[in-house]
Amino acid sequence: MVPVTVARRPTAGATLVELVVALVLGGVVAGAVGVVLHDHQRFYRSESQILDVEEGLRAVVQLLPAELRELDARAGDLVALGRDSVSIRAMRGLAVICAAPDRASGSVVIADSLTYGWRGIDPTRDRALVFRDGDPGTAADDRWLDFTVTSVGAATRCGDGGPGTGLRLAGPTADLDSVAAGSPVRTYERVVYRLYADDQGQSWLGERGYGGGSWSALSPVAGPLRRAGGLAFAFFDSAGAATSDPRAVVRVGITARGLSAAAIDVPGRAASGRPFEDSVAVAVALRNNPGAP
Amino acid sequence: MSGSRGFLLVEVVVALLVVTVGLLALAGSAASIARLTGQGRRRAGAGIAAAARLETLRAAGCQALAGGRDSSGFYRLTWTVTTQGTGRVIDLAVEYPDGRLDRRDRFEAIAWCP
Repeated sequence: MVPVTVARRPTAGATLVELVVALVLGGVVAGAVGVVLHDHQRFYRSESQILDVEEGLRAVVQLLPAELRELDARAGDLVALGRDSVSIRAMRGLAVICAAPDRASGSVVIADSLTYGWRGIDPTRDRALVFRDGDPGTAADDRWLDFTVTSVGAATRCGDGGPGTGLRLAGPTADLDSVAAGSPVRTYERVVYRLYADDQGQSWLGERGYGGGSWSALSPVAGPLRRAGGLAFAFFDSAGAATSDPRAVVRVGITARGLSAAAIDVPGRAASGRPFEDSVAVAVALRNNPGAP
Repeated sequence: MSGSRGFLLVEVVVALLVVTVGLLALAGSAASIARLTGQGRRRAGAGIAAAARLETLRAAGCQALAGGRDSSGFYRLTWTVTTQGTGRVIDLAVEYPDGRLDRRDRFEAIAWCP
């Protein structure tokens, strides 16, 4: 066997020049990637600030009209009007009396099958409006009786034997004389909506309710809003003129102005370097005013 | 390419071009996100402006319903009212700048006259 010597061809890698050029170009690209990623991070942070503001504003213009729309100003559902606050009787439930009330104890029974609401009746917060027909031959003496709900009792029976729930009411119980089975009951709670400034320097739509004999602390429900003029109410009567009489209101104007928590920082964009601001204005026609279309 | 001669300068340049195209696409996505969120904001704003106008018309009462025009910010609103039996059909158009063109959204609502 003849030994064969194979000459190994030298394997040339990159030359030094090529390596240097590649490293330089690679460095340039890595730098560009860094800049783009950094800009993107800034952009997305700013964009999320903007979306927070938009989301907060839309929450305000969903929530307040939903609370205000069903009110009856002439019956006193608007309690107090302010430039940046409104105090209302917010409707929470509807029920129907299904047995003759007991005037002496202020006890009524409501039919379980006809009780509606977004939560159960809470005696610590809710009051009840009971419809008193009076003389069934005329509407002139019809009115809503306003009661404190003392307690919500155990399950009981309606006059027709169906399942019902007993309510103990305090107030004008003597007027329950002509309240019969079939009379509607509306439950409501006293709520105030106003601009709420937290200790972080931000403002929100704040809500507080009256329960157990005192007002709860104001708690934020939507925002962030601008501290000055973040929430403005305007109240109009049937002629379209501004009014300060709660019973004359047929339309409520709500303006919310949002302000982002931090400055937005998108180069080349107007208002960059400052917090993002936006505003919305909505109007609500009170649907339960007598004669409301 | 003969044997294992490492990479050529041309190959490096091609690779860089590919990376650059990717980066440009990424940068472009930010621009389109900004454009789309702006568009969403304007369109939602048009809906809110229309709802505010319809509520105002409703509050004025059915008998007072009439066509008209108004503006709210950069939203221009025009509406007409036509009678259909005991109902009134309110046809409301909102025009606003949307990119290079103006956009026109239409809303229809019905009010019953008791």
